[in-house]
This record gives sequence, structure tokens and C-alpha cells, in this order.
Amino acid sequence: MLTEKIAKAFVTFLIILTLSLLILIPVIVAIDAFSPTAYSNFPPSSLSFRWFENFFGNPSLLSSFQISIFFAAIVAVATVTIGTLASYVIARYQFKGKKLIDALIQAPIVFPGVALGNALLVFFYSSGFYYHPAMLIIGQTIIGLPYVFRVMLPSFTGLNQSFEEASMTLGASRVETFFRVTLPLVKSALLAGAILGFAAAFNDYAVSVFLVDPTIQTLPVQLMGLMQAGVDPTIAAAATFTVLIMIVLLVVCEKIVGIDKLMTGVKY
Amino acid sequence: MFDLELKAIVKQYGKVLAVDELTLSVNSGELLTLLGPSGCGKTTVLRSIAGLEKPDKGEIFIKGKLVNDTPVYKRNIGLVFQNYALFPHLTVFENLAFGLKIRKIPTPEIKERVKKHLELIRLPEIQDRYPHQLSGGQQQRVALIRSVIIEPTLLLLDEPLSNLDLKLRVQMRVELTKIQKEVGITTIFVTHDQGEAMSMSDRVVVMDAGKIKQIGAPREIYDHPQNRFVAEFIGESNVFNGKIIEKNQFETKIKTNGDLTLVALNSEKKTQDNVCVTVRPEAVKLSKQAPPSKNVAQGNVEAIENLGPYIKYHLRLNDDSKITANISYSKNTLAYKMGELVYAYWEPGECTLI
Amino acid sequence: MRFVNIRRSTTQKGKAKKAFLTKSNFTPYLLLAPVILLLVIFFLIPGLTQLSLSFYKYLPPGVVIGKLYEPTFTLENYIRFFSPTYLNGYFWPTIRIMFASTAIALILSYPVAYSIARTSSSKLKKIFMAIVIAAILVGPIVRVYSWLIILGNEGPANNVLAFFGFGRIEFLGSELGVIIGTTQFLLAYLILVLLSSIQNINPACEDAARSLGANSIHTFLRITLPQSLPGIISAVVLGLTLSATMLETPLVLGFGIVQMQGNLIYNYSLGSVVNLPFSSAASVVLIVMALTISYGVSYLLKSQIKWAK
Repeated sequence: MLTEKIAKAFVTFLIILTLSLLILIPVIVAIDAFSPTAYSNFPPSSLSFRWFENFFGNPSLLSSFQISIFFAAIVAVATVTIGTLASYVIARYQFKGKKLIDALIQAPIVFPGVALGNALLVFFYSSGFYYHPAMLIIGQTIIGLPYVFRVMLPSFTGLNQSFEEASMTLGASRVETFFRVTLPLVKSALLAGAILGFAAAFNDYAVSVFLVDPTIQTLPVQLMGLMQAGVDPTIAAAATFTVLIMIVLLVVCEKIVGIDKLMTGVKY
Repeated sequence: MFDLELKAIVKQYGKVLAVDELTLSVNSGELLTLLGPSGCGKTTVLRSIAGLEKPDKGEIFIKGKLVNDTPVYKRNIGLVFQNYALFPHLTVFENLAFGLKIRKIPTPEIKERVKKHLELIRLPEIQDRYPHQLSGGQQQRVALIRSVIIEPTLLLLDEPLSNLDLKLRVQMRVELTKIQKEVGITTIFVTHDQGEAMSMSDRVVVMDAGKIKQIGAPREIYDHPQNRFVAEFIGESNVFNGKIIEKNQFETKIKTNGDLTLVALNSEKKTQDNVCVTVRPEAVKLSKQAPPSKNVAQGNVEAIENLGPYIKYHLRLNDDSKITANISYSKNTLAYKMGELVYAYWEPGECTLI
Repeated sequence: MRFVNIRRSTTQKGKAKKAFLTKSNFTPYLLLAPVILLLVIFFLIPGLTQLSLSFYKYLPPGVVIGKLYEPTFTLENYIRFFSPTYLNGYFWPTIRIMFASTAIALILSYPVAYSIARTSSSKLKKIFMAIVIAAILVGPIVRVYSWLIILGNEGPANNVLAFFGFGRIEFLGSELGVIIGTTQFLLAYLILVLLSSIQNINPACEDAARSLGANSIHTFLRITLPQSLPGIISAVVLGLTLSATMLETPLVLGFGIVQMQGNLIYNYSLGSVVNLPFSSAASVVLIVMALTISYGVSYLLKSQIKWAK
């Protein structure tokens, strides 16, 4: 039928359009990062590394980059630790208020990031703790926690309890069982969770912008500031470098664990 | 002193009473089987002994010590799971060494024990393999010795053979019993498979709906079921309801509801008592002519099942009740045809009165 | 493991012991204490602080040294928020952008989600999934900067338009530009939500319909689409929530001309004129919006479908 053929063609067109759009976005940034001129003449006529030199030669950008990496790493550890423990308890124990706590931990996802950032700003300001680096870590942890939680919880509920029971019959206490048997068996989820927590913290702008001070800036905050002044391929260079890191993380995750684990965590 | 004692164990899950005032004692070195249909509570009892379930009421004593509040990992029991639960991330050696490492046994001794136990199950070469690289039967045996190697007070087995195919299952029955006797450990076995229970156990505990229906040696349970459930659950039974009309010191005469007169040996029941008479189908013989027996019933062959080593004849008797006879098959045996009128007969000694 | 209250049995001597809580009944709460503390102190309480601040009186700088607000109850912030200037400047643009981008994103994501769900080649599936997840993982900076380049007056988008003779459009600083950027932002998330919903539809139903004579269009409209309705609703809810609460996209692509809710909060907390009570009020309104969409709309729409899970 002709209508069917037209419909199919149109749909295929939409699919290609959408996927291209998704791929195109980071690619354009990458191309811009290699452009030779300051003025964004698109597409660029030749390749140049000057913007990368600019980025790596800029102490303030570099330091923001380092701060971002450092904080994101801390947040990754914090969210994995807290998130794993919380999801284990919810997966294995029966107790009143389980649903409530589950909802509480996942709440920050539906919560507007801007609102959370502002709330934290207001909170820290009124309590006098403003401009402490710990604020950033706390804010980013709260953002990252739900992602870790949503990867770990199905891992634990899906883990056959007989392994842990067998371990206990062999003489291992609950704690020993947790470290010797349970955790090794959910290794892949732990890795996926860590990556998601790291990414959430590293890329965050909406919450971080409320909590940084002029001396301590994260990379996203600084880059956004530059962007408001106009197009500058140095931003592209920094962003491309970041994307590279994300790709590496993605590949690592895929090799060890597989994409599905990440998907479980990122899904709404 | 008994190795294991259960006193009035009660366990309820919501509205369901899984275990109902269960009391049991197990002797040292014995292989005791909990046998019953799904949902009869046997697994709940086993898990309570292990400490994985806590009974609502009742006491559990292991070697005389009350263990109700002792956590699982302090009870020193070995539990073999139905799905084996071998740790997938550890090699066979590490699986076996697991319990020993926890007990802080020195490495040379661990190596020694693992070697000895692998020889016990005749798999000396598989130390470095991972569970997913083993066959079902191999996994089962490794799971077994993983629990035995820690030298527990009790060995508990939760339907360990149900995941194996038939031939392997039968093979493993013999091997399990052999290992158990060799190691000498008190063992509690849970199964719904009669064949396993009968062939392996020193004693069988028949359970239904959370209660014990009968305890005894396999032969005892088979020959002398004490109630209707056991009579029908263990093996097959032809069942007749009736009343005792006459008895003397040698024989008891029963008139069934279907108007048959049956004769059983002496029993403790009295005249006018309502009884259930059960006869095993393998005790029922068939003949074309009226046989000289005290228990005779006449009927038509309604169905024939050719089951290999024997043929099962379903007869509909004159009073419309049914009887089955398992006739051993060999090439010379006389075969009966569908619809044929035959006599079924059996010795008084084959009747059990319940 | 299930932990049940133990009632000690009555011993032979008839000593009845009282029921008591075993340690195990406290364990879960103990173990969850860190998380709960973290979230209560740094999530719930800040939320409440913000809420109370939204009812406080604003103090212009200099009136009282060191204080930005006065803890007296007032509704001035909300009144100001709902005044025409602010509604037209922030609220209505947000609503327009929300619905426009969600609608477009939905139309674009559905086919992609469907083809991923129905692909038999697992390799292709992996590649698609990688693209979608990568789109989220690269973060807002990459996304926003990319659009900054694309939608510029001399950028690729306008170059293409000029090439086809359409004349140039000023995307940046217009609602259209923000809508485009937002739509692309939503794509990956919507695809994931729709994907999980479509995967739950039994493909055999579609085969059955085809064997009964329905063509692809028919099958889709009568079988697939209705069954994916719960997923579509989830996607719409997610889309509306995410687009309502954006900050980066309008900040950069709006060029200061087009502003959304998030901008309002940003302007009055971090901008040149700091009015914390006002930004807090805006923040509270935003939260209410997000929650209403997430729970309210979701519930309303789902209850219309009798067979929805």
C-alpha cells in the first residue's frame, strides 16, 4: 500500500534525523575544538590544536578541571558507599516505612536541580556555613545518590538469597557474608553506579552554580560563565576533553559490565 | 543424648500454619528423611533447624543445647541447597575452603581436607574450575562436600537431587547414602520423592499440612501405615471402607460399604468399629476361575496400563467400587483383556486395618 | 531473611516470658541512619528553610547591615511572582517551551524507541543504547555549547537555510532557539522511558494483528500505540518536568532575552540584585510545578487507562 510505504519512509526519516541529532551534538563541539580561527567559521578550514593549548595553558581552567575531577571522585565514592548500603537494607530487610525511605532517596530526581541548589544556598547561608567546599560535595552527592540507588537496588533484589544463606550456614556472619559473597557478586553494578555518580557530579551545573565561590569553581560552572560571554573554542576544547573522559568511562563500563547496567540507572 | 531435638515447633506465615506443634528426635549418625507433598512444612522445619527461619513457638536442641537464639553462622550445621548455591565467583577449591577459612583453619590443613574430600566424591581434578564449568551432578557433589568439609554437627539436605535427571538421581542416591555412612554424620534429608526416602533413610518422617503423620523405618511405614494419608501417599493402595462384623484371636472379618466380605489378620480393633481396609496393588492377584482365597472380589477389566516391569489392571467390581492389581510381567504371564470378567484375590495378611 | 518477633516458648515449669524486640528489628533503621540523616539535614531541611524564606520580608541592601531578609510573614514575594511582569517574563515562556519541546521530543523519540525495542540484532541495539546514554553522560555543557554554535547567525543551521533560500532566522535569543535546544535535551530521556515501555509489549500481539490482515499503520494505531500509552504518559511527565526546571539551556540560548523559571531563581540569588525571599518563592513555585506534574498529572492520566499498571 502506498500510504504504508510513505509512512514507513517518513518514520525512517524521523529516526535517522533524531539519531543524527544525538550524535551530531558532541561531534560539532569536537570539530569546533579543532578549528583554527577564533571566529567560529563553521565548518573550519583546517585543524589546529591551539584551543587545546589554550585550555591546558590556562591555570584557572585547569584548576577548575582538577577540582571537578577531585570532587566528582569523592562524590562517586560517597554515593556508592551510601547508596549500596541503603539499597542492600531495602532489598533484604522487611520493616515499616520501607516505601517512604525508598521514595525519599529517589526524590531528588524529580526535584528541580535549580530548586535544590537554591535551597542549599539558602540553608548554608542562614546557618553561616556558606562558601565551604563541603557544600559542593554534599549537593552533588544528593544529586548522584538516586542514580547509584537505582542501579544497586535491582542488583540486590535480583541476587538469589541462597548464596548469602549458604555463606552463613558455612559460618560467615552477616558482615563477613556481605563482603565475601554479596559484594563480589554485584561488582558490575557497583562499577556502573560509580560511573553514574561520577558523571552526575562532574557534569552538574544547576546545583553547583549556587554553591561555588569565586576561588573554587567547577569546570561546568566556569565554562558556562565563559559561554555567556560568547563563543570561544577554548570551551569546546575543554568540553571535548571532558567528553573523551566520558567515552573512556563508557568503554570501560561496557567492557566490564555491559551497557544495560548503566541503562537501569539512567532510566527515569 | 539425641543429636537433634525439636519440641512443639510452630511456624505461621500470615494465615497459613506451616508447622503445627512438631516434635521430633534424631539419633546420632542417623539418616532421617522428611517426606511429604509440597507445602507440608518440611522445608520450613529444615530451615528452622538451620536457623534461617525462626519458629514462632517451640524449642530446638542441637546436642542438648538450646539453639533458638543462636544465629545461623554459629550453629555449625551444613546445609545443601536445592540449587546448590555454589559461589559463582569462587573456584571449587575456594568454595570448599570457604567455611574452613572462616574458622581460621591453617592453609596446609585446608589443602589437605579439600584433597581428601574431592577424593571422596571421586573428582580430584576439578579444584581450579568454576561452578558454571561443572555438570549438574558434579555441582551437586561439590555442594555436598562443601557442607561436610566443615565437620558440622548436623547435615541438612533440601531436596538436593530434584534438579538432576532421573538416571543421575538414582545413581546419586546410592552415592549419598554411602558418603553419609562413611562420614558418619547425622543427616536430615527433605524430599517429596518417595523412592529417595525409602531407599536412603534409616527412618522416614511422613508429613502433611505441618503435622507428622507417621515416623518409622521405610519397611515399617510401607507395610503398616497408621493412617489413610500414609497409606495413600506411600506407594499405592486400594482402600475399602467398612465395619468389623466379627473377630476372633486369628482373624477379623469386615463388611465393606460395597457389600464385600474381607478377612484380615488379628488386630486391636473391636467389633462394630468403622475401619479402612487397605491392600497394596502388588498383593492383588488375578484369576479367571474362582480362587480358593478368603478375600475375593469379582469384576470387569476397565483399563490396562502396560508399565514395563508390571501391568496395572483397573477392575470395576460388582458393587461398582474399583480395585487395581499390579501383575508382574514376564513373557509367559497370562494377560487379561479389556472387559474380561476376572477374580481378584489376596491373602488376609496383606490387609492393613486403619 | 525474615525477622519475626520471637515469643519464647512456655517452658515446662510454666515460666512465660514477655515478648521483646530482638536486636534485628532495629538493625535496618540503624543501617539506614546515615542516608536518612543526610537526606533530612541536606534535603528536607533546606527545602523547609527555602519555604519559610519565601514568606519572609526582603530587606534591600544597606537597610540592616549583613541581613538580606527579615523573618516577618509576608506574601509579597508570591504576589510579585504572580504579577503580569513576571508571569509574562518567566512563567508563560516556561509553559510554552515546556509543552512545545515535550510534544516535538515525543514525536521524535517514539520511532527511535520503537526501533530499538524491536531490533533483533543485539549489536545494533548496543550501538543505539550507547548513543542514547552517551548523549546524557556528556553533560549540559557540551550540549548547550553545541547549539550555541549551530544556531548562531553565521552558524550551520542558518547556512543550511540560506543555502535552500529560506533566509536567516535569529535563533539565539528567541523562544524557538530555546525550544530546539530543549527538545534535543529531552530526546535521550524520553527514548529510554518509551523503550522500557515498548519492550513490555508482547511482539506476538503485533504479529497476530498482521496475520489477521492489518497493515503496519493499522497495527500500530490499534495495537502498539494503545499499549504503549502508559509509557507515553511517563515520557510526557518526564519531559514536562525536565523542561520546566532547566537552567543551562535558557541561560545560554536565551541570551538574556528569553528566560524561564530557572533563570528567575538564578537572577535573584546569584545576579546583581540579590533577593533571597523572592528567589525562594520562585523556587517553591517551581517545586510545586514539578511535583504536580510528576504525581498529579501522572495519576490523572493513568487512572483514565483502566488496564494501566
